[in-house]
Amino acid sequence: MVSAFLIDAINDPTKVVQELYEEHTGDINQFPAVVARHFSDVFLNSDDTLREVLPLDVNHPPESFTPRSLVRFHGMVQDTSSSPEMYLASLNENKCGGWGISQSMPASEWPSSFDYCDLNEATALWAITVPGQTDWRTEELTARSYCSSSSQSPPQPHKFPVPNAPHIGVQVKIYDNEAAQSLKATDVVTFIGILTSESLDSEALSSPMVPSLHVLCHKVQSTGDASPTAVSATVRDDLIKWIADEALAGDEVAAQWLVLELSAKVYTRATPLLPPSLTLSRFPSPTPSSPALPTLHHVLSDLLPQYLTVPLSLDLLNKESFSPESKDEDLHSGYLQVPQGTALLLTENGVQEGKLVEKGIMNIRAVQEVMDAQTLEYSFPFSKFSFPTDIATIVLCDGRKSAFFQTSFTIPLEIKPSLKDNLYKPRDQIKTLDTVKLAAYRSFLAAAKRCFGTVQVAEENHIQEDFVRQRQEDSSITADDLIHLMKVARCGRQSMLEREVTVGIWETSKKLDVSRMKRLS
Amino acid sequence: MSSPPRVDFPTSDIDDIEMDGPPQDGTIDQSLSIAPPPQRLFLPGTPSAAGTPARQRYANSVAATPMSGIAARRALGMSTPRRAPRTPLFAPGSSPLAFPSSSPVKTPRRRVAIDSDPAFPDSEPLAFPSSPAAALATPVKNRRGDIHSSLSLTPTARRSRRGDYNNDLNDNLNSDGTHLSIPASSAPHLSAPAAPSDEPDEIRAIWGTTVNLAETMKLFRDFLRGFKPKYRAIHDRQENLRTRAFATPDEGEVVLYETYMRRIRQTGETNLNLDMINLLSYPPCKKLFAQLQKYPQEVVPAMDQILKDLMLELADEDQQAGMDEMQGDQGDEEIADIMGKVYKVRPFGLTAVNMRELNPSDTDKLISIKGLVIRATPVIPDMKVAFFRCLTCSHTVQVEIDRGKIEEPARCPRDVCGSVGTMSLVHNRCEFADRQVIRLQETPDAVPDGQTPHTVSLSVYDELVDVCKPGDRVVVTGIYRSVPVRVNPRQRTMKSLFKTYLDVVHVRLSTGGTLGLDRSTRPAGGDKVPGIGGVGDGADDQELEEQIAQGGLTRKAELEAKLIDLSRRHDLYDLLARSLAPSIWEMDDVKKGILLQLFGGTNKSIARGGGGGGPRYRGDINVLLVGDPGTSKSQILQYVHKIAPRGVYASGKGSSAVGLTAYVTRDPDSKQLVLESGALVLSDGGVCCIDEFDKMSDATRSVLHEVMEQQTVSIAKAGIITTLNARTSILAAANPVESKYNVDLPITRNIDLPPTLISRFDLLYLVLDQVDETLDRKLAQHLVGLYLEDAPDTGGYDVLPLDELAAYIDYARTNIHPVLSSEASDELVASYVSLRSIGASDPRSSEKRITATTRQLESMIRLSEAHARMRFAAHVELQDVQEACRLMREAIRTSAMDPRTGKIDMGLLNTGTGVGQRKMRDDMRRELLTMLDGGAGKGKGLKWGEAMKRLADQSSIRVDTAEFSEVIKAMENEGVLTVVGERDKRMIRRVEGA
Repeated sequence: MVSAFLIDAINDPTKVVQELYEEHTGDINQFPAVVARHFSDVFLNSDDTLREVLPLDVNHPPESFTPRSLVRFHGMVQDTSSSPEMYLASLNENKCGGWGISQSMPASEWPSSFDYCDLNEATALWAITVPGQTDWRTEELTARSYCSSSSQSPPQPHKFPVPNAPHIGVQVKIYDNEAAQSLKATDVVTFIGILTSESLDSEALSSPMVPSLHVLCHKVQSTGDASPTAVSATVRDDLIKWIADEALAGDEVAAQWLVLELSAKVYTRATPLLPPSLTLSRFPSPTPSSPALPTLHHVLSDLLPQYLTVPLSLDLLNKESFSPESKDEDLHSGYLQVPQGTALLLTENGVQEGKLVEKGIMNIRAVQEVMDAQTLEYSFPFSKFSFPTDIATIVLCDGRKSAFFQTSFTIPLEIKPSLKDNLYKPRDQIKTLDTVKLAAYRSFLAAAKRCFGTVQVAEENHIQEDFVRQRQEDSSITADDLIHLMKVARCGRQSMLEREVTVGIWETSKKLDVSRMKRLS
Repeated sequence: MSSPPRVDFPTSDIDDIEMDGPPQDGTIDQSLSIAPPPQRLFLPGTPSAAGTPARQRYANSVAATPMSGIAARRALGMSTPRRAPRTPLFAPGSSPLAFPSSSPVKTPRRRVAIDSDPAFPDSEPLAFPSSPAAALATPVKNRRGDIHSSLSLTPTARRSRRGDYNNDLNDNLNSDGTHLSIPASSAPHLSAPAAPSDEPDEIRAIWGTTVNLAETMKLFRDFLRGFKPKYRAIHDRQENLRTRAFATPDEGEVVLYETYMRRIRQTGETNLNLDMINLLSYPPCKKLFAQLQKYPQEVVPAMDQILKDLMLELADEDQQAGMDEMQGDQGDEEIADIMGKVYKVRPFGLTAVNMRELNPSDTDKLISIKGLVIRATPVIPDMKVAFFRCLTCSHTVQVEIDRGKIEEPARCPRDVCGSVGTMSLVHNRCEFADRQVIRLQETPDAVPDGQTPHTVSLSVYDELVDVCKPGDRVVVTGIYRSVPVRVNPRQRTMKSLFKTYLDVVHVRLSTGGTLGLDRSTRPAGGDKVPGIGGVGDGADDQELEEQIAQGGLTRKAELEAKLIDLSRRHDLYDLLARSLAPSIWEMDDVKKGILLQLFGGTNKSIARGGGGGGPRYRGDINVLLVGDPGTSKSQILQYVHKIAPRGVYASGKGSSAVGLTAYVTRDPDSKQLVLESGALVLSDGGVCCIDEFDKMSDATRSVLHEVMEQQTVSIAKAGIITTLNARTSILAAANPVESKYNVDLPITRNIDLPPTLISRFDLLYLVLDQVDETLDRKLAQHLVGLYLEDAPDTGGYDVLPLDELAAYIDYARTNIHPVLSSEASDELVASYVSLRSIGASDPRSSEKRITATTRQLESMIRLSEAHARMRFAAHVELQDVQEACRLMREAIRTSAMDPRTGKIDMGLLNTGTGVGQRKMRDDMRRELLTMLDGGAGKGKGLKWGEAMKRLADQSSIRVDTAEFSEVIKAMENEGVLTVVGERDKRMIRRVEGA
């Protein structure tokens, strides 16, 4: 039964809309909501129906579709600042005017006169391929075989955070305004709609043609999507061991810190309970013969759904932007405009001596602000808007500590000489894991991020006494040290998937921190 | 107007009349024969440009005339527009008129017309016999760029000012004349709108509605003639708003708009700002409010019309009443002047909505939005009337703009010709107006969480061009337009897409945002927006802005009640202090000090000083926090930055001098040098938070000297030399020199800041980290609760949410301006004297320590004012002063205490050396001299190191190297001794004979 609807909708969505329009008797302003409901019922109820729709992505660029075909697009909202678009909702002969129908019809058929009552508004925004979405995640979402057709250079490349990366940028038009109002910048959304090609700015004279998606229904991806899975006790240790052996030259302590970092997320902002940032120092630079990207990059992209490496260099810092900026009323993206829950790996190894210009300084400051406050400032003319982020940042540097950033934790790497080559090796040399194990690691990290908890009163007292005692012994210990330790304990609790900070976790965290301090000195 | 030449006789320019004779007859004939069209023009189908004569023509014709001379010009202003007679030139064959010329000869006649009858513009279009009435549109109706009315308004017949001359006229002219036959009438009841019944004008309804335009006009006339401030007061009271008390009952009885109209006449303004709330509060006019909101396109021109009618009427009355400057010829001139002007009503006062809430149903309605101007184009000439000429028969047609577009005639309207596609535009005969397109962006406070701001286009016209500049926050009232977009500008085809914009009728510069800027920092006149007519009942503009800023009247009243309630709480002070950065533990006095900084003292200026109002005393309180790392100074700063009015946060480390002051850049659009404000200028009227104050470069810091006392920033860059206002409070945080505070050293040695700068801070707090078991335990408890639990608590106390605190402070800053009571000033004097005498009263010491200077007195005044402001009190009372003194003493005790003597010494802060230190230096100097004069170093001098050592041996306290070199340097300068050699080998030698 549903499948009939489904096939209709896939074959000729325009016709379905028109039919719905003819059936619809109520207020014309309510019609978009009716359409959204109909198509949500058809497509969004299960993953299987969703997968029936052809995906729009780098492998299936807009050019590969015939105009007005139905596609789904899993993307990130990049810019919501474009003005809403007014369209004629009702045309002659009881024809529906939205969803690009009136735009595509010849001018001769255009009604000579119109009534302002028939005008309606559509929210317009710009969406891009989710930046930093790793390949396995994309495959998981698409579940389709690659039909590789070479993509042309995408339009409006400045609206994608990573310069020169292949991506899709689409102008999205949402007719159901109420639903559209809740969409925020960096939200990850699955849109289902009719793909057309339209000029970017209807008012400007020479505006480029861009792919344009007339949305029938959409669904926002919530952060805690995946269902909790039973995780076996050994997964954590296995994961740490695997990361250490494959990417960190056998340093399990460093790998443990990495796992702590990856399991953190933003809790509240009122009192800043934010994910810490991590520096892996003493991380050697690549030798000329080895690949430029550390093995860690490949390991992380196998583990995390959203992950981005930024190979820092003076050139990149001085020229590219990290925070979004509105120029000529067009919001240009920056490296840091990524969805919540993204992990960012910054490698300082490529930085040479040279001059950092103002832009570079601003970029560094933007990264630091994300680390400290998990906010990112978007610059608009005469005003700046602070947007919340949730980015776990990991810095790799050669020296004792990061040259640019102050991170919550710094852990010097201790390399086992036998495994030194592990740090930089091409992707194909990584020991492949069986898919079950990989899936377990992935769901473990996802579960850790979702793990909420509290402190028991007994433990609370223990911690207090601990602090008072330490102060008595060493007056140089300040409240900051306590806060630091508590952050470690917090991450530790999460990475162990515990609901409470037990004395055990507190002590383990302390031990972990002591071993870190030892390495630092 | 063109028709009344006959009337000219009385004033004698016979020649002219003779010359004008034939056309005149022709005109009248024509006018009689085509008389109906003007009325028909009100029918819906009529093209907008339909022959409406309007008042504005005068202005235009003035421009067109080759003549100069005031009298002549004014005279012309009264008469047929220049263009009218010329038009036939393009259709020579068809004109029955033999225009004598466009020469000055006509002038005298026209001047006479002033005295006679300025009315009857209706007949004017008739001067174009060659073209159909519709096309003949006199170019001069009241053409406002903002309102492209589809309604053609025939101006109401203006009643004659002197009925005596009118007889002739009435005989000759059409219906309008009938009203004018009553001699010597000046009573308002004669005005056309009041008695339109016998005219075919009844169809003057706004198309598609039941709104009768004549009635609307009558209502507005009643309003202007009848509105008194008392109505507004009653209305406000009903809405539970704060009303301004009238000084005298008479004040409420003034006919407000007559006063405004007189002022308009006197100042030569042409705009009347009309507060729409006033319409609402004047009982007979209630429905006018809704009409204006729904059909501005029609109602506003009608209002313009009435305004002009009334301007004339009022001028006439005043002339007859013999008012100043309105007697005799002067009055005539004045009236002629009014005739030549275009008056515009600029309505405002609607509740501003967010631009996101605009939707298609608002199209063509009057709405009000607020936002931030981000871009403004240069002035664009905007075509108001297009002039077309047929290529075949040279017939000319004028077409007016309607809803932003000009309808190009497809075929020649002349029946004889009728060629298709021959009408071509004659550019230099078209009329243009100033226009500017502005992009307005949502203000940060209006943008929903997580979204990027929207922008909307505004079109501003005429006087409103260049009123707002990029960066201004404005509240605009305008008509919302949606027009179809052309696929290609060269094609006629449209897209089914529409672009939307606002035709602005009124602009108000405002502040908005969570907290307004300190208004006392703005010039008295405020930012000038054209137009006469204040807000409401003449109350401050400020009031309206508040209403707007807080989005609506009732919400404002509600909030106000809530805040006043709050101000009555007995634990207000503690509550507010606690609510400031609740996540930071303890530090109550610091929080209190910062709280008072946020409220601020009152700015005072001495009115009778020289040039421009004399010196100004700052009310801004500056606070410096110095302390050990890890004492959450930065957190406090961040917090203040969030709630402070125009708060700006800068880190001393990262900011160059330009970041804090202002810098010169080249504007990407105009390629001109522009001055961009830095943090300090941006926070003018607000609080500038500077972290890592000690890490700031000296150059930057030196700028702060000026800011903190003079409250200006001087810029000399790239040829631009200017002084910008930076009336900002500064909240700075600094770390001690050796990262940890050394309690054995005075504060000046602990902070790497020049004493001159330190002394400019009203409050200086030392935030030290001390080990104390119970305190530590409490601290740990606080932190554990905060950092380990997923739902942190606030420590069991109720705290105000951030926005409420901000609202409270904002309200106090804008509304409360406490003055010192005599009791308080006595207490201030007493406190100051006692503070100052701490040093002097110590009987055991002969030396004088400075414990307080006038700077501290000023600080105390500011703090007491701030405290009173916090209580919402109108007067500074004893308790305020006492709290201020307590805070001062606390701050001084920690910062100005001489660690050697344990006594307070302001000299430490003001000059960097305390009395104890000075005494020690004297001792050291004496000893050194004894040493040099004594046997040991005689002749050869002493080695540096050895001198140090010997001094240390003698002294009971440690000899400080820095102190020692200071002493040596001072003695060297005096010429008592010299130092030779470098580094370790330095020798100190006594100068012989000194």
